[in-house]
Amino acid sequence: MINLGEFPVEIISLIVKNVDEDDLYTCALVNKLFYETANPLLWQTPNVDHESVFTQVITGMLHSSSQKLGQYIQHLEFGFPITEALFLLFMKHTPNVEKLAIHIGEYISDTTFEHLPRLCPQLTCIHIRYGSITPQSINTIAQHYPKLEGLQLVDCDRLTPRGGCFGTLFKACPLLEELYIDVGAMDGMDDGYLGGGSRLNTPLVDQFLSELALLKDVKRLTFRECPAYFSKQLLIQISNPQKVRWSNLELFCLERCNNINNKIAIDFIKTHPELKQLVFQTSRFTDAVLDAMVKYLPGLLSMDVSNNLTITPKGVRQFIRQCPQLKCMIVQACSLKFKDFPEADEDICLDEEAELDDDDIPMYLLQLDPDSLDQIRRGPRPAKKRK
Amino acid sequence: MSNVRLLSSDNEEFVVQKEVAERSVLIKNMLEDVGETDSAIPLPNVTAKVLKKVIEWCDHHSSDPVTTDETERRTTDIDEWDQKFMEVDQETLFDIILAANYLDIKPLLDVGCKTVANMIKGKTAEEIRKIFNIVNDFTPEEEAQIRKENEWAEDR
Repeated sequence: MINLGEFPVEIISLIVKNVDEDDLYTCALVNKLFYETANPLLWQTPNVDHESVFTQVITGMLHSSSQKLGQYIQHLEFGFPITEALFLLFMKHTPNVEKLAIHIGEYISDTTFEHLPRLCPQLTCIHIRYGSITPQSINTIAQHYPKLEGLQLVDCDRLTPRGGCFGTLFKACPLLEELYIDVGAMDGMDDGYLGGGSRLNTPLVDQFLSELALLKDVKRLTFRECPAYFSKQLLIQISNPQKVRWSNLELFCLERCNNINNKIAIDFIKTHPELKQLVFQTSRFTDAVLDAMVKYLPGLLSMDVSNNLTITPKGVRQFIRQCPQLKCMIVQACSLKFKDFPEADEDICLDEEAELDDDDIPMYLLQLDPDSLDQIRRGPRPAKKRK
Repeated sequence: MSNVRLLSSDNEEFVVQKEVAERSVLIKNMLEDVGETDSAIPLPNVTAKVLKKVIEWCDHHSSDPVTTDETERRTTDIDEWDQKFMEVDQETLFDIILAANYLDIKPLLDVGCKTVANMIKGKTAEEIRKIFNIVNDFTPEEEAQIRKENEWAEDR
């Protein structure tokens, strides 16, 4: 009888690498051989969602006989508002972190990036929300992280393209393949769409657009709350067949598309055939754009056209039938009536608060999930017109 | 298409197509070193019972593309045929894993290890030790130390 305990260490390690993350804690307690493989894997991604868990992680590191625990850490995601001093103190012990996310970064300022390159030189992905960082941090990132692959700056309202920090970044980081920016939150980039008056600085937008052209081969791009002028100019700029730079774009999100007509949208779709996830919110294009997606985007998996009032139930149904690979379609505030999509699952596709019994107010679709999409594809084709 | 003869540790001979046998990097390298040969290749670490299973797997997967993809993916998805193939008693499963390791058949080794990983899912450390006959070599102090170290991960 063979015992697993007598297996060569490479095989044990291969087994442990295949267990679920949830089972690593238990594996580390099985025996010394299992511990050797499971513990470094467990510590790759310590969960610091809450302050209480963070305290336990620190306690664990202090109690450990080996000094290595911090060195195992590769991904860190802070889910609570951590103070800058505590953050920097902790990062001193995690020199190998590659992916860092700070979801409530109100205490994170430029000071963080003065020190971080020395403490964690291997960062490739940085995600900050509600950070108090300024363009100075962007310049520091450009200077110290030439291997940067992902940058997400969400609701960081002290940022601005003034001074050209983004151009410096895009030039210095040729591997950058994911970028997420709250364009409208930045100083000078707000066209007053959400109230509060326009502070749109058109020359600044133009400068930012020309800087974006420096991005090499980006795969995932998200621009939130962007001024409509920015969205339109960006699409025109990147769809010129002679100058297409991002032909490998897989995810593209543009939140404000008011000024984008069918031609601009279709030119963009034609020149970006690798798209898998597409978000075009508040757009005014018609079913013709859906037809173009069918024709030019064979790999499209999810689409969000929220706030579009010009696409029709007929066009949407046809689109779904001809896109068999599509897994999710979000149609919030598109005035698509539930009764036009009887195949949709009401628990998933409707607003929770919507009441089905009310005949006076039409029920509007929120989204279509994989099952509802399949049901629509299976359903009877619309009856042919009688001659 | 040429055939290759393989000899198990208990002296049973198997005749298999060359391309099937070459799923094993060990055999492939041996054939390249030796060149055309009529004599059977001895496999002293594999019994006939296990070799038969391994050949069955290689035969089914003989036309798979050879992947050199070294990316570590922590996926426990096993395709349906492989899942059925791995429905064997524990000892045979371990034998197949050891044979795949010895014969250097990486995809089979992966499937075997994933099968074992799936058996671990949701079990306690004590249950894992019991199923796989593993001796707990921690002192109570060491065990307490690890629990303290990893307390943050206990309920995740």
